Amino acid sequence: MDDAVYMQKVLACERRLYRISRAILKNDQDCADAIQEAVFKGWIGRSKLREEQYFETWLIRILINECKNVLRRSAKAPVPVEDVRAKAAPSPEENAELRLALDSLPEKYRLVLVLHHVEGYPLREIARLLKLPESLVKSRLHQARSALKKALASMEVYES
Amino acid sequence: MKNVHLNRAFGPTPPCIRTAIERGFERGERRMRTRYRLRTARLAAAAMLVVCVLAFTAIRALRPTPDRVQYAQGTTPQPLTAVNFTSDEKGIIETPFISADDVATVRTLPSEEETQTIVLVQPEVAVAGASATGEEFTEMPETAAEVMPDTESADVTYASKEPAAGAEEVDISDTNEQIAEVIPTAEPLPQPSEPTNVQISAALPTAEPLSVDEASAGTLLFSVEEMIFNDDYGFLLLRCSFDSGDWMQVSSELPADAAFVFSSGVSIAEISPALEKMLAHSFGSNNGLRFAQTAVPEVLLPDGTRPLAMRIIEGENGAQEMMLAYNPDPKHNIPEYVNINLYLNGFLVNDAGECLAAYSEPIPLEPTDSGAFSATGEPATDAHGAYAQSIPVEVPVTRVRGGEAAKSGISHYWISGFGDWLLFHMKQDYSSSDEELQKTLEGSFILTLADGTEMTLPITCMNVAREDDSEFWQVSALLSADECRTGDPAICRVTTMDGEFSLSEMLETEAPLSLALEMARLTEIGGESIPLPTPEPMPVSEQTETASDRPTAEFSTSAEADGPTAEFETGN
Repeated sequence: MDDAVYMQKVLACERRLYRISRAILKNDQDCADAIQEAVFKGWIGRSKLREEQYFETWLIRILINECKNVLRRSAKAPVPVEDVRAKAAPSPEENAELRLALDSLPEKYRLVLVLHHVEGYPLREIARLLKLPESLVKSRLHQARSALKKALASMEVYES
Repeated sequence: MKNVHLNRAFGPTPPCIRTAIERGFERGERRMRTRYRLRTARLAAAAMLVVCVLAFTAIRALRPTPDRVQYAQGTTPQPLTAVNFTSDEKGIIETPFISADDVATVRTLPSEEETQTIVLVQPEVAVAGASATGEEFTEMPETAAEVMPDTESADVTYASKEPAAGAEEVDISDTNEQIAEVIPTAEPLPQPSEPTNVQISAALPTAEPLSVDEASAGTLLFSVEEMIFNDDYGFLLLRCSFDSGDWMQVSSELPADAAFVFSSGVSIAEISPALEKMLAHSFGSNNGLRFAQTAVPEVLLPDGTRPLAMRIIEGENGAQEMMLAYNPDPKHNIPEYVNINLYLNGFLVNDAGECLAAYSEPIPLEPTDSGAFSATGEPATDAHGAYAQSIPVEVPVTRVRGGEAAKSGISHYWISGFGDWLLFHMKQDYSSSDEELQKTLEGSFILTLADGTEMTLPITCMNVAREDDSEFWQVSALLSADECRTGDPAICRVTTMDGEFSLSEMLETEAPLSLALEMARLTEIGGESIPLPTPEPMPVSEQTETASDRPTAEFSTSAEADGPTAEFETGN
């Protein structure tokens, strides 16, 4: 895979990379850091990818790992007040209540919700991405839905 | 959940994501380029290492095996009086250099581990054989390479030959002990402390300690530990016990009664019978050698290095010979020797008139208590009084009429006699180049004798000498009294303030001489004279002073400057 093809494929899934990273991380700057590291490591280790059809899944796997690395680093470092406020304030284009409800969920629920309901990955694919049993993914997805429902209900924005 | 559109939770992709993607890609590219460069460098280094290893292996393969080299330079072989090879015996000629026809070293086969070293010292024992390649030879090869041109261990089968008269037969397959029994008188030569000159064959019998002449004053007992005869150059090298590692060199061209003068101690001894016999064998009749002592001067070779060793040999007619050992190959510490046949005041000149060395101060040759340098302790009885004349006689010159030489800055003239030679010295500032000085002085040394005969003395030596932190050209011309003796005695006479003397008389005179020399060439050229301090008379006893202490002469313009000659007068 040459550099042009690689870049083309990365840009094709740019939006998806952002959303997945955003599902794990709570601000755009951390998402950018994780994506940059994932693109860098993907380029370095692209020779390890045996089948190009799985490029997107392979890159998302790298991205999820990098997002968790960012989470570990940020857990050790103190978070400035400005960042907390920024995280708490969604952009105008976003559905603010939904964003807040989603952010209130644990990271493991957010990720399966985004992967399944936003990115459209089937449960089997999600299980492969997260290296989890499919049953566990299914259970976690159910619990995530329930948690999101409760969160939205508490905000009284739930539309039945 | 149906009615919840989770993708509403995400706004548009922020621009920082695109930037992050681009930066990640750029970082990856940089990392890959770095890796490529590192990999290329590693490959190049590995390739170079492989090439080096191959080259080293090839060089080692081309070199002789260490055993052979070590043997060639190291172990002193067993001397034998005779060896007769029987048929079907095999050996390898190990000696890489065989300078004498009768010396060879043979390593026996077939056992590779049991090597046998045998040296043949009898020329009567001829060897014939054939190499393993079928190449036959009937004479002892000069080098092993002739037998084994391209092989390292080719077997050599020696044909049987009749032993020399009185020679005992030795089976070369015997052990060293057996050989020692066959030749009980042959003792292994001691291993020299210094690396052996591999080009010299060591096969001479060990000499007994030299006998001592009890009647001689200052007799020193010493023994010759090792003798090496270099047939190629006609040298005999003796390593004596009185000075460990010191070598004495004997020239095959020496006269029969040559005396040896060397530096260590008062050593007057006679040659041992063994050495005498060996010398007689090497040089013909040679009835005894005499040893005397002298101090060793500071001598520098023309290249500025110091010789390793120095020997002054006083010949029959009083001529001095000095032999310098210098080391042209410091890495292997293999000395070579230079014969210097004339030793004169401040110069060493060979037969060809080439100056081989120079030193700024005269070598003090002082007679021993016995009155001369004669090794026997008797007063010098040389026909020409050579021993008694071995003290340099320095003659200050008071006046000289300057010419081109004066213009060129010559500041000193002095004349000294030594042995049968009369030496004219000139000194000049070092500012002049060699060519300029040579051109200026060419023909300047003209000696006008009493009968009007002019003798042009060729410049024999030009050297830069140091004195009092200054550098000078020392220029000399030599006049041999021998030339005069063969012709009309009148031409050998020069006018001095004290009358006329022959060169021999002049050299025998113990008082400072006042020479009246006519340097016609300078006079013809004319020019200004150079004033010099008035010289002081120089007693013989003070003639070993340094050159800086040497009385100098004063040049003054003579009233007879337009004349064809000018007189030199001493300050007296």
